[in-house]
Amino acid sequence: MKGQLRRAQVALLSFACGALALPLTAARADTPRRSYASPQSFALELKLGPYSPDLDSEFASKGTTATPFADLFGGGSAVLWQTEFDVQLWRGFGSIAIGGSAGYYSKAAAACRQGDATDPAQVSCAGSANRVSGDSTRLTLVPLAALLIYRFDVLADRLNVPLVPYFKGGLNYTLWWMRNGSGSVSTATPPGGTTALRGQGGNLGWQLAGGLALRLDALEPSAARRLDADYGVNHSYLFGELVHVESKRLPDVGDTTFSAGIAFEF
Amino acid sequence: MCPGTRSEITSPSGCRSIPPGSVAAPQNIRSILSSLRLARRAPRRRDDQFIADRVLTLVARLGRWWPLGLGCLAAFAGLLGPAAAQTSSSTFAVKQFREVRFDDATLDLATKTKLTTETLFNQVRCECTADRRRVRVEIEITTDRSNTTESYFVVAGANCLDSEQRIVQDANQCVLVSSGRIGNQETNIVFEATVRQLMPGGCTPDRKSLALTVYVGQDQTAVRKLEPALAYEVDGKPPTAPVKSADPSGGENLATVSFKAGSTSEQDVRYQLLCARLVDGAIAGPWRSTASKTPIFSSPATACSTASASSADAGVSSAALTSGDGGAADGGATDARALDGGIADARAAEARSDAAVAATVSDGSSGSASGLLENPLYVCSDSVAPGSLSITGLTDGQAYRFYVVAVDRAGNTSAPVDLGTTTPVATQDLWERYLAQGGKARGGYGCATAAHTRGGVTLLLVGGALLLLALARGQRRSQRRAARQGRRG
Repeated sequence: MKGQLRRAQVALLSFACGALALPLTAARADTPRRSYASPQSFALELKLGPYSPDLDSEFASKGTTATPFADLFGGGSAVLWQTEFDVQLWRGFGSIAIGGSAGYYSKAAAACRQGDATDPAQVSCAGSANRVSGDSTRLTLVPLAALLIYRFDVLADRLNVPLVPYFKGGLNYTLWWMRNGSGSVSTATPPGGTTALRGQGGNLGWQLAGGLALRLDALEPSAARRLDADYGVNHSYLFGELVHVESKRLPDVGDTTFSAGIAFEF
Repeated sequence: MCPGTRSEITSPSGCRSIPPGSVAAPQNIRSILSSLRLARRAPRRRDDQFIADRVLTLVARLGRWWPLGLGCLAAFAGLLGPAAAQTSSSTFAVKQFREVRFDDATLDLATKTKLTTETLFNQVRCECTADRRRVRVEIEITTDRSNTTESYFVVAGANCLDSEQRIVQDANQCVLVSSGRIGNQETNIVFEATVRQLMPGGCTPDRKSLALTVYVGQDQTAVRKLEPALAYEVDGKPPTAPVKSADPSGGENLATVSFKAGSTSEQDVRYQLLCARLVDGAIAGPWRSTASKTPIFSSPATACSTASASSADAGVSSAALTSGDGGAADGGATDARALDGGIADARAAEARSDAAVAATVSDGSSGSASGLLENPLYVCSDSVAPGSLSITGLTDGQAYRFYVVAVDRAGNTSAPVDLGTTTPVATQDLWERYLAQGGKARGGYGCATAAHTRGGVTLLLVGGALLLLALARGQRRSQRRAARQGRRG
């Protein structure tokens, strides 16, 4: 995860530098101030990024070396697709909005061969010999969030600097389920238990995000004006953000990661 | 008649062509009328010679028009002939085909759809080669005992009447299944025929439409068709066999098999998966023949003629599968009757669909055993789509061999394709591994601990309060802005 964070930081830095290097003066000189702007009340974001739930952190915090998620899925990430819709409540020195987001994450791997192991905890998953290609296991997450968003778009609106930093925070509720090779939700009995438990649930938590958006209007001002006049799209953005999702319930399906996407204000 | 589209008769032996646009017919009529008028205006001489001359003259004049006269006579004959024949023939008529009864199933034609009709006909195609199955047909008629000379002929086939109104005498095209004197026919026509008779051209024709038609006439060389006819379709051509894509692999109580369609152009083809238990590397029955140990589903032909074999082996196979095979034991006992009988009626088919087997297939679709021709003891799943499929409900440690069979709408089956052998094994998925290694999650959608509940509720309350605050503030600002704009205006 540290590697991912470093990559995310590098990506954001490059993104910001690239944006600042834009010929702002030229854009300002060529572009007359907007004489028309449609009402602006909403924002829509489509984004994606790597995600790897911290399922194994539970065991590390207990001091054990068990890593069930890494054993089965390795260290890589899968893509988390998300969409977010915001309602901008206040516009003054920046804008404040409330929003909701929903995402989808799914990752599958071949199941581990149980073999002759009598203790399920001792089943080895290492190597292809210990995997069964005809059977699979899959973890699926659907993170939902209610967010409060602040966008500092003063620079873009008043000084024609096309960068909009923003911050988000709110509640997160992640639906999760684990399926077996037959496609049904996995059921298992914990050691010492008597009741079989179904591998599905929903975890409440919180999340914070900070990002930087590049307002695309400066690249093609006339097209931006037409987009506003014809469709009511005030601004469009490319953005990248760092996000931390904290799961307050086990299994820990949170992660600290980054995502990037495109956004529209309308 | 003269050749060409427009002509005028100038002499009994010749034609003169008339250029387009001229009016020829009135000329002709006028010349006829004028000759008649001349005859009337002639002085009336009362001597015999004069009368004889006039008669001869008239005959001679009329003689020039004999082709026209003959034409008129022919036209009258053509118009009145059939009517006269109809009047003179019987009122014998087909009211309806009341029922088609197989040995163990009755098709009520008043309530069954055409699809059911063809299904029943096609399901029995397997029996037709042996001529074992007989079909009883009852045709409700309007009787006519007054006509003792005509006969009726019930013919199965297509295009059974040639251009001269004769019944086609070709056993590959039309088969006379019943006949009799109308005058002797006091009740409905009832006859029995073999299925083979209803399928002229053999038992494995390509898909074609046929009909059971009643003809009436003095003999088979001069008949007329009565309506309605009973239309049905036969289709004995098996679909193209599917193709194996990859070797099967076993999972926990499941196996994954892969195959693709043999032909992309064939429509209405479904696939059945057949699962056979292996003991010491060989299929553990049931057998068509215990001596040769040939599996019952080894070919479509054997699938068609399993009646005696399945009845002989049913007891053994059902017991064996109930004890070990999770695949199809439940469905087997129910369907053994259908195989034993060779054909099931619609009610039995419905009942069969309820007899789901333990094994299911997961590929986005699931299936249950409802095979009509294959031995259902083997059917793991019906109506699956080509691709990679997981067959569940199997026993870990038990070797299985898998086959796939293409089945078309008429119930024709391809040769079973051997998909290979595998053995389901116990596996560990993420949830099992998580719990086995001491994971504390227990699933569910509530909050795990009271502390977490309090935290969540606090977060929810703070978020809600912030939201309300923002909403109220935004509303106040917009009201103030609107008021300012109003004052400026």
